[in-house]
Amino acid sequence: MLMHLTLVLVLVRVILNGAEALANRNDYAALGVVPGPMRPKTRQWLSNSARSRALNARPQQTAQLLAIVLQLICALVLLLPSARFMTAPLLALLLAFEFLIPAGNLGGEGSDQMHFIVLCAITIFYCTTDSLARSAVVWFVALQSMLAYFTSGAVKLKTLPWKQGKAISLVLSTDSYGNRRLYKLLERAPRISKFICWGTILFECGFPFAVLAGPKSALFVLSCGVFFHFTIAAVMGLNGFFWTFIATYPAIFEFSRDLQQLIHTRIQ
Amino acid sequence: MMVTFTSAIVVAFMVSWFLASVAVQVAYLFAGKSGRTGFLKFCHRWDHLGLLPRWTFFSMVPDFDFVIAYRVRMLDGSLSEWHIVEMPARPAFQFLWNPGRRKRKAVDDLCLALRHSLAVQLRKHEPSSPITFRFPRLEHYVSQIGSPCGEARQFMILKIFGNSQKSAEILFVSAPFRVAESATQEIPGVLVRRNADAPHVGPGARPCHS
Repeated sequence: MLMHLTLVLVLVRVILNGAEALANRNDYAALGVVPGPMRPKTRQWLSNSARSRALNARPQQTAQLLAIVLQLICALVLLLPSARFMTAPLLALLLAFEFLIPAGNLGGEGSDQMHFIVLCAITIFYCTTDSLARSAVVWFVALQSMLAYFTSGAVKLKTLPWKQGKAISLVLSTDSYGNRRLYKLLERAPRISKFICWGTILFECGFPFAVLAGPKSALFVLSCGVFFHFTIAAVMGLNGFFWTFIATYPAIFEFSRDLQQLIHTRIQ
Repeated sequence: MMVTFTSAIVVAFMVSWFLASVAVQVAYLFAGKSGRTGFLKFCHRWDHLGLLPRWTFFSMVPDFDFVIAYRVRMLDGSLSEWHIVEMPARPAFQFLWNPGRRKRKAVDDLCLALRHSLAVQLRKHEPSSPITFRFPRLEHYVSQIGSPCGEARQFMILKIFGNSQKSAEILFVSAPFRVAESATQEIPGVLVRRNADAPHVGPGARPCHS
């Protein structure tokens, strides 16, 4: 049931990606990049062989767009309650289109990696009925998300502007991610800037430990996570992070519950 | 819980994927200033499916924006003014809808790639002047902006700092390049079409008048 929530959130992100790609189609053609999220450069082998054979029958830009539109259609169909019986094949098809969208290393963001990982995991989850295999997928998604938070926090501990409490105001000073009003506010109040920087580091580094402490503290940290990602989306415009990381939260909660049950069983 | 063949395969795959992800994150955390170790190079070489993530979000704190400006050389040899390529504005409801962020990031990535390749090329060909270096992707992008007029174009990359105390820096000024030449160059993943219907990019892109 919880993983169904993950599926819905992943599908929202697919629909968002598709709609954004359609809105950007002219700009992307001029920039020479794929009208969609980042594909790692390493997946270019597919672009030179299988993808080319599959898509090169049409002009490339049209074909890329076609793959994205087909992903969008798959996601919309998957959201229909009557299509539940074909969840596994449709997800497999959606993942196949993900591979068919050609490699391009421009315009991508960090959340695209998590989106790809969760999409792979959820496809495996729905392709099997084995309870152990399904638990492994849930634990994998949860641990991968916890690893993402922890690494992100730990790397900030090594970065001078984060330690000095200046990183947030520096980011807010840019046009790409910033907000002029908040930047000026934080420039006048460096203590608040320092508090936000250290709050972010503590939240990210402490995230896995709160989850490991049990479902109650997991629920608390997940609520903080929703607020954290919503703020990032509203202030910095990184809305992709919101849907992608929130999609891992049901798995995190299930992992925390399973872990506590396991510990209790062992103790008894 | 019974261990079946399917569950054994899935568990083994998930455990391996997660452990490999952990190893890569540890390598990123302890990588030097170059950000690359032998292990990471090995991983990138063999990670054909792009399964290994990099979770070091905002470890490089951005404090500036890249800005692209271009000018056109007319048929009579005169040069137009520099036009700044403006990026799409961020909508008020950007937490729900913000397609422009992809274009802004793509332009940032192009400029970062230019900076990187400039450093590499300068190391390789020390006696050459950077003005002789070609950056087809940026040339292609600049050649698609506005109406296709003039004999050649030239672009400039600027770093604009959000902090008003720091003045803008010119990162690179290209040599003039012929628009038709650049537009027909083969760029991976792009259908290059140069005709009157070519998309006009950037709200700030102005058609030139000779």
